[in-house]
Amino acid sequence: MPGLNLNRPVIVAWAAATLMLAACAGPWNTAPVQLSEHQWSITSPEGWMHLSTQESDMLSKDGPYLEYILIQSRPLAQGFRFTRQKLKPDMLPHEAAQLITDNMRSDPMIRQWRLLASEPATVGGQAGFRLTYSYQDPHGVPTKTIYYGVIVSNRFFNLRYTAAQRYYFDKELPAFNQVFDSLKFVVDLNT
Amino acid sequence: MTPQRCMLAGMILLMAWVVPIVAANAATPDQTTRLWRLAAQEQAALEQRGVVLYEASLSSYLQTVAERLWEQVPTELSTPTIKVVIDSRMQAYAYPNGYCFVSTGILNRIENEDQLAMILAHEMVHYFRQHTAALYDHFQMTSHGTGLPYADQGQAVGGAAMKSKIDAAEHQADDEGLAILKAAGYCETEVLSLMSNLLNSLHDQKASEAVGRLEDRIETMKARIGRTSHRVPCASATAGNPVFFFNRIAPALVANAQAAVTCGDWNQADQSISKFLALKPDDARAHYLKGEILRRRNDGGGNNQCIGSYLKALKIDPEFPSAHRALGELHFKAGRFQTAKPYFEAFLSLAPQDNASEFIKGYLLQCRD
Repeated sequence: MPGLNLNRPVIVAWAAATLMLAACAGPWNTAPVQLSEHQWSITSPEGWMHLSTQESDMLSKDGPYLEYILIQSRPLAQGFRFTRQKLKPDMLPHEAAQLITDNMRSDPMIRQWRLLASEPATVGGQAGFRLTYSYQDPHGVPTKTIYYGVIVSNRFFNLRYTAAQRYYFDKELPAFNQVFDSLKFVVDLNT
Repeated sequence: MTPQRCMLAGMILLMAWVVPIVAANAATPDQTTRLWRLAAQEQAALEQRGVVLYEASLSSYLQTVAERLWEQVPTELSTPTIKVVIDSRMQAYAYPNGYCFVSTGILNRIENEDQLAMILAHEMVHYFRQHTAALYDHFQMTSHGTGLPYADQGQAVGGAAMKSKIDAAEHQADDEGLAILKAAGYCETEVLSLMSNLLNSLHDQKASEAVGRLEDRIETMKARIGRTSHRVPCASATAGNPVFFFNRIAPALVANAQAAVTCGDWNQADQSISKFLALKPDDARAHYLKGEILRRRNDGGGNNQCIGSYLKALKIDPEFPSAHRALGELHFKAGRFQTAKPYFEAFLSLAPQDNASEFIKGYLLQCRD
C-alpha cells in the first residue's frame, strides 16, 4: 500500500523509538531552527527533536536508536574513554583522526567495527577530517556513522551522524548534510 | 551483544587469571550445549574484531606447552587449544569448550616458560573442572529463583555467594594447576615470581580490587609451595635460558606494543618493543613502533630520538611506508616542507591505498605551494 510500505522490523523499530522519545519526554524538545552554543551554530532539520546535555547536543527524528546527530565541543585536555592518548593543538588532521579511530578500536565491547573511510574535510572552514565507519550496536543492529572532527585552538569539535544502516542511514543523510553545510563557528576559536 | 552472550562474556572474564570462579554443580546437558554455543559465538566475535593473533610459530609453541601439561590431567576431554588475543590488558581465560585465550598483555609480563606453564595450567583446571558451566548453572538458578530481570543480574554476579564460588574456583585452579605444573617438570618457584610481576603491574594500573585478590592468592600459594617437601627438579627447556622463551613469544611482544600504542599505554608499549628489539634488532616495524612511542607520548625531547628510530627502520627496510610518512609529518609540522616532500612522495608511492593517503596528498600540495 503506497505510503504504508514500512516492513515489520521498521514498524517495530519506529514504535520502540517513539516509546523511547516519549520516555525521554522531559529533556527532549522540538529542535530550534537555529541551534547555537558558545562557539558554533547549525541549522536544525525541520521536525527533529533536540536533547541538550552538558557535554553535547543531540538531534533525532525517529529516536536515537534509529538515527541521531551529535555535536560536541570538548577541551583537548579531556580524556577519552578507551585510549589514554591525548589530542594536542599541533596535531595534523589525520593524526587526530587516528586517535579517534584508536579510541574506537580499543573499545572491548564494540562489535564488528570497521573503518570504511578516513578523509580530509573542511569543517566549518577549518582543516579537519571525516571518518566513515560501521559497527553493530549493543542490540546487534548494523549501524553506520559519519564523523567530522577538527581541532581548533584548545578544543576538539566533532559533528557526527549515526543511524541504523538499513533504511534510516540513507533516509536522513541529506538532513545531516544540510546540518553539516550550515555549521559555523560563531566566534574565532583561535582567540 | 545478546544478554546471554553478555553474561557468558562476564563469567569468562570473572574466571580470568588476574581478575578472577566455581566448582560443584555441573550444568545440565542442555545448558552445556547452550553454553558451548555461546562460547563459540564469543570466539567468533573475537575473530571478527581481528584481535586474535595468528602466528604459526607462537601458536605451535603454546600448544606444545599445553600438551605437555595436559598429559598430566586425568581426563578424556580433548587438549585445550591456546589462542592469543591482541590486548594489552593482563588476561587469560578458558572457555568451556576448551579454547583458552592469553592476552599479549599477560605474555608481555611473563619471563620464562615455567611462568607461562602456570598460567596455562590454571586455565586448564577451569576447563577440566568446567567452572564456567557450574557458574552458569548457579547463575541461572539464582536469577530464576529471585526473579531478577536481566538488567539486575550483574548485581547477582557480583553478589557474595557468587564471589565465594569464584574464589573457590580460583583457589582450586591455583592448587591443581600447581600440581599439574610440577608433574610436568616445571619449576614451582617461578610461580611466585610470576605472581609478583603481575601484582606490580596491577599496582601500576591502580587496579586496587584485583590487587587485593591477587595478594590473597599469593599468600596461599606461598604456603602451598613452602610446605612442599619434595621439590621436583626443573626440566623446562627455558630454565636459565629466557632468550629461548622470548624468541618464541616475540610476535606477541610486537603485537602488544602496537595494542598498547593504540590505547595510549606508552610505558607498556615501550617495555614490549624494547624486549622485542633486544631479540630482533633488525626489525624495521619494531624500530618504527619505537619511534611512534617516542613521538606520540610527547614526554619532551622525544622528537630527535624518534627521528633516529624512523631512520633505523628505513635503513633496514627502505620501503617501509609508515616510517616515510612519520618523517614527512615531523618535518611538515616543523615547517621544513622541502624536507618533508620526498618522504610524503615515497609514502604515497609505497602505500597508495593507506587510510592516511588522502591526507598526505593534501599536505604534499601544501609543500609544493
